[in-house]
Amino acid sequence: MDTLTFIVSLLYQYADTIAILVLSAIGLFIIFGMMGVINMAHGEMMMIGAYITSFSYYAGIPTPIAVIFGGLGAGVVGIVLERVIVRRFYGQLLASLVATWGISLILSQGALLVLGPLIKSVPTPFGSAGSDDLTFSYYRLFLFGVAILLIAGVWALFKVTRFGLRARATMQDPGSARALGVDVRQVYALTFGLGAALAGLAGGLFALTSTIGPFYGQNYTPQAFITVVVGGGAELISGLLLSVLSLGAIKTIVTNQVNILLGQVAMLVFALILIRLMPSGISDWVERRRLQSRRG
Amino acid sequence: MQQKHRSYRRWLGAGLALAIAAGFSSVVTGAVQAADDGPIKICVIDDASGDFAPAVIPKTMGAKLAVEEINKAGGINGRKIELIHYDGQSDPKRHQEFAQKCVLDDEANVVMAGYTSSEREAARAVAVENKTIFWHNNQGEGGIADKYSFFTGLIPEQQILPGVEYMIKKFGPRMYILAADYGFGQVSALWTHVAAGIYGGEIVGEEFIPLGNAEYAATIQNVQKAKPDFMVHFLVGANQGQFYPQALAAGLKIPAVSTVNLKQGYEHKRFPPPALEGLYVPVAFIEEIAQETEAAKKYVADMKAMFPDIAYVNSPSRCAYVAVYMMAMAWKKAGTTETDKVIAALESGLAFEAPEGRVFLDPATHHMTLHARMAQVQADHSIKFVHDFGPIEPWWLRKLGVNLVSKNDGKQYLPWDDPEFAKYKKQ
Amino acid sequence: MIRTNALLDRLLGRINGPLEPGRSPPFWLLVVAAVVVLALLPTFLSRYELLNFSNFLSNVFLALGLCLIWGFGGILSLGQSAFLGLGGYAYGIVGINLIEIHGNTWLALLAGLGFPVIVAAALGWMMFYARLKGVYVAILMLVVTLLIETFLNQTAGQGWFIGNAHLGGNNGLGRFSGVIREPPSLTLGFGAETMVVFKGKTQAFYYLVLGLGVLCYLGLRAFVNSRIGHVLVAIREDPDRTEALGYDVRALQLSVFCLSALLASMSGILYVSWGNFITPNVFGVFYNILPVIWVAVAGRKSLTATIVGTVFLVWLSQKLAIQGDIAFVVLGFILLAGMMLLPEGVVTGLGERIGRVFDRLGIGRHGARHGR
Repeated sequence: MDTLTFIVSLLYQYADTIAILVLSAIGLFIIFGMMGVINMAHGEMMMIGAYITSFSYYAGIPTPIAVIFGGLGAGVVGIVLERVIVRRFYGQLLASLVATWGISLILSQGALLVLGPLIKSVPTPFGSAGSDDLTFSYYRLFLFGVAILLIAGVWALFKVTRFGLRARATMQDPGSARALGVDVRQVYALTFGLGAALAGLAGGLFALTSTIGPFYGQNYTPQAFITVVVGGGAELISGLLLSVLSLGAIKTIVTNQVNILLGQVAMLVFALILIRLMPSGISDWVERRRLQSRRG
Repeated sequence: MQQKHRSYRRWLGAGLALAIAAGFSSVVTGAVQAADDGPIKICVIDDASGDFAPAVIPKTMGAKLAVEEINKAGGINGRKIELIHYDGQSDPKRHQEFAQKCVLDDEANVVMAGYTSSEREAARAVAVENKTIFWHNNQGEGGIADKYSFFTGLIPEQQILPGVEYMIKKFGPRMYILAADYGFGQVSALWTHVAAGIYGGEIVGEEFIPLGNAEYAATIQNVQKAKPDFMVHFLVGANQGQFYPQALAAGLKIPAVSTVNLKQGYEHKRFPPPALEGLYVPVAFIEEIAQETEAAKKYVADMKAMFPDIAYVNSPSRCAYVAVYMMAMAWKKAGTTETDKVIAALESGLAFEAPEGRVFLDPATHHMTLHARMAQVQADHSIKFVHDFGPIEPWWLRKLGVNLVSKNDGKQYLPWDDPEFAKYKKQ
Repeated sequence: MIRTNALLDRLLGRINGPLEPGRSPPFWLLVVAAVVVLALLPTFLSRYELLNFSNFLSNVFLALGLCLIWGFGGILSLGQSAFLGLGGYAYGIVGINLIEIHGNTWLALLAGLGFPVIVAAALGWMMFYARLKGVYVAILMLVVTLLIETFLNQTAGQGWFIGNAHLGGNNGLGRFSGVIREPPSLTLGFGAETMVVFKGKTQAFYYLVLGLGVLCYLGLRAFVNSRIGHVLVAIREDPDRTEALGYDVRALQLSVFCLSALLASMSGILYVSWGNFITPNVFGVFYNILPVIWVAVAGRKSLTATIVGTVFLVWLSQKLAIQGDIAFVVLGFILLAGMMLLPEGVVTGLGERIGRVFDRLGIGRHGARHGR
């Protein structure tokens, strides 16, 4: 096939991969970056979003609203969980891992028990375009657009709003923030809720292009974790962007040139290398470079 | 400092608590020895959770219906059948553990287990090692010739060969294979190569998809680049089924034949139309066969009556149903549950009116002669049966000279073990 | 006071210390009693119960390895089951190839123990000498184990043979290739007369696991209470200060990491010997989180608590799985409740509470002596 078609096709696949990575990881990023909590129930937040989306859709609610409901619902669940359980484990990274895994078990297996192994899928909107040679799904491109919007939105939230200011202060130094009058506990609760809501939103969006079941989120969780850890928590947006762009690139190129399996393997190997080279994540490395250049 | 000196009491306490717990549970666990006039035990290991649960839950229901019907009709010479069910959790390791429980603890008279070949082999090895009858109630990659193992589902010579032949005649010789990357997918791909060789097909692309993979953007574009006349699908599990809505969304319009999809995971009920339009599936039984035979109509009605929540009366459910009846016939004929005598009864040439038509258990190969039809999914996801293949015997193992009545091969044959097919090996 | 002779004193001195709770003579009496009970168990258990219990016990080494690096070393690894898998596969592959030639599995055993340690050394060198911390070690190990799982899952094709051993992909080692060539059970001995095959359902296997378990327990206690053990705990508490005091932190972390890999591989080899079966699933997220759950819930800073808690939790998981539906939900609640109510570990915490009850009832000389 000619070069132009090849490049377009590759870019499309790249955009697709990035969209999936961003959407599945952004919620986790916020939670990890803010509180250093490993939220093993992240996949279940996605699941809740997907379920709410599906039920809403089949109750007659228009698709976009159904997806938003999914996000909101997951956010509410997130806030409740944070209040009741997660907040006892701040500062105890590993205990929070175990505790959130307990939550994950309860939610996913509970969903299986109560609602069965499969939920009806929602039809993918927008259709497709392209020539005889190559076709594209508009919806996958739409997901890419949403991913970009979300990144921009989160950036704006943290950089521009007062909540964002308080949140960043808390991230940097909770003690000082508290001394300055920031309600740290409220910031944590809202941030966790935001992270859960983003996960739910992602879940709802993916529900329009996937099978939905109780363990649906668990497919995305390992990938999300790796993206988050590689990105590092120091600087949210740059960490997320750099991590997603680099991991996504490797995965896309290798999948395209070889096969799905090696694409996955290559991404993991690359993550390994990145972690080794930048032991506190990409964003931390970037931060240090920036500080160094300012000094020198 | 007092803390450390008190520590022994800590352990005393913990030790006591655990000893009590363990003792209590041992008493509770103690398996009741089955008396000779007690119930006959069928042990079923089916996934009620995990990736394969949607396809396997109806399978357990099929077995339960059969047990219910037989017990209502008086059981086996007065003895009732008891169905023990363990959730294999879509995990081969669990299948091995539960098979051991079935055989050594519950002392079941027969084990029916496994959806995927990985699960099946994990359980079957335990059953065979302990000389217990084993049934695999699903379609498979075939080739297993073993004295203790029996099969109720379609095997390659009954679906891949006729299915691919049909597609080549209808659409042309170029085909693209998408197969799940594990035993079943690998062997089915091998058989597709054989079919291509025999019927003049050409394989223009082949991809093995990791189990659990749900992203197909690259695959879809690869298929488009290759421009095949049709695709051959062996996509297994809820995640691999994602291919269909994604292909639809991407506007992929190439017809496909699948021996896996539709009849197990009922994708046509789960994905909104017209995601599966144009999919061809060779089947022995699916819920829509009720359009074709009276027996199927009754079976589907009975299933829905007993299990109102059933998502779809799929092929594995009928396989389990048939298997239970086969065992019942064998137990009645043998007059005992002694394994050797029951196997002899199974090998005596049993026939049964399955929902899709008459089936026959071949003594030499322990597989069944099944009536196959080609189903085509319509735009609204209804099913039309466009071709009747008629009853197909499990002829391949016979061709290799297998006769389990006289000799126990105890192994699995692959297509390359057949000298005639070896020449179709992948280039 | 119970009189002990000099040798016993010295022995007790080595395996008793402030870092492992449980040191007094009554404690050891309890331990001895427990071992005696366990040794007598096969006479009371049915064939199936023995088979099952042997499987539970063989998980102990995996848990002990994690307890060592996490509880004592402060390093959480989400990839301990990877070493179990590497050990099992290495043992299985060499075993399949050599069992007919040699008639025993000594070399396979060596491979099964050695290969994971080599991998651990390489990984550990990479991690600790880059000063990777906390969650990054955990995630890096997770990445490694997922890598291995991804790779092994696609080895079902006809080409994936190492000698006579077919990797088999998701179907399991040696289980799918036409001719079934399973990994052999441990077959050890010196000459044809003394050869013992440690198949899962045999008493020989049970006693092997029990014996190894006791040896490891005592050995690890000695290790933990030795000078090196104290340095390890110092590293856990404050690595920088320990390094400032002149100890080679990274070398010790690496060594302990390798030791934990060795322990995990023991569980792997025993598992393969038990069931002649292993699949890439053991490299998955679930199987790597399991030991974390066992150790966290049991009490990660105590070897004794780890052993007791692990056996109990594994037993409980299976019991629940057999009940079916509500199994995992219950497990989830137990986990949550455990972490919220008894963060130091359920076994440790429970034991402590019961101990306090005994105290109030005045049971035990020590309590009375100290007048509490």
